[in-house]
Amino acid sequence: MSGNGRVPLWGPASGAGWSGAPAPRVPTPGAAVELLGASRWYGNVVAVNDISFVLGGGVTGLLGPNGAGKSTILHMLAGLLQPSDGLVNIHGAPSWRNPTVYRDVGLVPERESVHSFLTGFEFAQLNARLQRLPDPDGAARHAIEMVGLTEAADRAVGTYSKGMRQRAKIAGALVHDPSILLLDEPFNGMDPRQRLQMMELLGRMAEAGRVILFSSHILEEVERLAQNVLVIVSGRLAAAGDFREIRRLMTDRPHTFTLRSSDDRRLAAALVGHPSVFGVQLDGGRLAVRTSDYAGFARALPVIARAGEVSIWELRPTDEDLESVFGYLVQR
Amino acid sequence: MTGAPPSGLAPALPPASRPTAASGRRSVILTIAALTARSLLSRRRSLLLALLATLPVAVAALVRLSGRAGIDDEAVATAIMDRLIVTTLLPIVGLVFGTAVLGAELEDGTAIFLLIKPIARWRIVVAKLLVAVGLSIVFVAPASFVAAAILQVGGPGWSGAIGAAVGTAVGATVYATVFFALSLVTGRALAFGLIYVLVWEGVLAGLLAGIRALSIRQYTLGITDAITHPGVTNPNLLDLPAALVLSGVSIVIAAVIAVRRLSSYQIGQADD
Repeated sequence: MSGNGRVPLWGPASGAGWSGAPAPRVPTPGAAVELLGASRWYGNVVAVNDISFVLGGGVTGLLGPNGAGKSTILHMLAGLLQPSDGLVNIHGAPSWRNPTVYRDVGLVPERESVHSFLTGFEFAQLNARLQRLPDPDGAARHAIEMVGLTEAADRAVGTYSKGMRQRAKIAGALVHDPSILLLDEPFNGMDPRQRLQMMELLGRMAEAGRVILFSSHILEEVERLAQNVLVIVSGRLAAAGDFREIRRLMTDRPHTFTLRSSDDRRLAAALVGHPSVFGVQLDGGRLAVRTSDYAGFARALPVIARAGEVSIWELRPTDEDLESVFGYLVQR
Repeated sequence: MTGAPPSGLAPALPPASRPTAASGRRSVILTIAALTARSLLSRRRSLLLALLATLPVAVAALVRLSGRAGIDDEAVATAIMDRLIVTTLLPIVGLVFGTAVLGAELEDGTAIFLLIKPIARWRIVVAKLLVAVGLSIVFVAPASFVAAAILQVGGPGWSGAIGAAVGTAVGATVYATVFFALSLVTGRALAFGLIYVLVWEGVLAGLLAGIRALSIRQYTLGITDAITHPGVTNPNLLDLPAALVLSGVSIVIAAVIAVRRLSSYQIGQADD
């Protein structure tokens, strides 16, 4: 990501905010997918705020809490929304009001979007025909096979499980072998086995050189699949880059735990002397501990408790929800 | 991730399946139209409309068989042909099909897969209009023809039946096209369509003669009357050239609006 120096790995991701003056909006030559100072607002509500990034091959996760603006970004990329400001380009051409980009793009929307009376094969075949492929039947069969729906290909989509419908949508999106695949929350409603299959499929497609961008609000999904990640919070690009870097920042941030034990006061006294702990608080029968070293604290706690002969009944992280993680990244 | 374009794409599909500019296949317009027709006809409302369409024929047949209607029984003929067919059945059918072919699909999300294809928007509009207009005509014009023939509207001969069929076919075309465009302008096309039919055409057009030029019902009646009674001018109706020209203008304007609206269609605010 980045590659052109306009998008820092950390910090403000917009050209304008980064330099303190509006940067010239010059598209990156040869970029498969590019947002350049892209914003989208609805009246007074800003859904996406001055976002820039460039994508090449591989899987990129678009990570953020619900309502962050992920779908808006994907819809702008898919030409289904006009950017209120900035550029949204596919292979150097604007995606808005430009149906020719759909030769290179496949979109898997989050909403149910398949006529329930069509069979899985018919849906893939329909997409192939609308893409004007020379052999729509062959392309449809191949796409159905790729998503593992061959056995159910002749059943109506209305009889499919949520995961199967999702795969049917993906078959329709990749039937024309697009170089760019956009997926909006593709794992919603899938059971663990289906998730694994879908991750393997997307991984294979990325290995073949495709640009794959998928949105998710679940950290673990992105962690397992994406080499690169774009973290979106409140319409802004909070972080962008290698997932391990972002994960490390997320892990190293200050954590707060609450504990219940056989002797909170004695445990608090013992913990406060440990270097990984920088705050303890006794409050209403619970002990709150703040640590800046997640792993160090996790190792030290049982040792300290055993040495003080204190039994721990409950240990609970209090700020593990994704919003607080994202909030921390934004502050960085 | 780099700024470089992906290179050396290993196609996951056989090369023969990749799109080519020269590939000559079944027209996308026919593909879209076939899917749309299948989608519409599989819905229960189409069955209800089909039953509604048989109503004028059934009523006309009953009246005829009861022996109460003669060829000069104008009141009965007017009740069936004007009130039942032109005023009720025709706009309802046009409204239902006009708003369902694309507007309803945009609402329920099934149109997305169509919009993300390399297809010029006018082709999508043409395909959808073919279905909306075609089905509207099929559901109304034959029923009008048969009902008029049974009632012997316009006297012995076929002029009344032909006039009714042609008039309602043109009317169905205009209604379906206008309501199709309306469904791309507003999400409340059904409500606005009903207001147009009930208030504008039902009340105002009867009170103010100038409104006739903007009433699809008046176009239908004008064409029907001109064919049914050739050479006879009815001062209360639009003449044939005016009705035809106004119908054509309405169709063109509605179609242009539809293409423009679809070309700049934006998906609803994302609930991401």
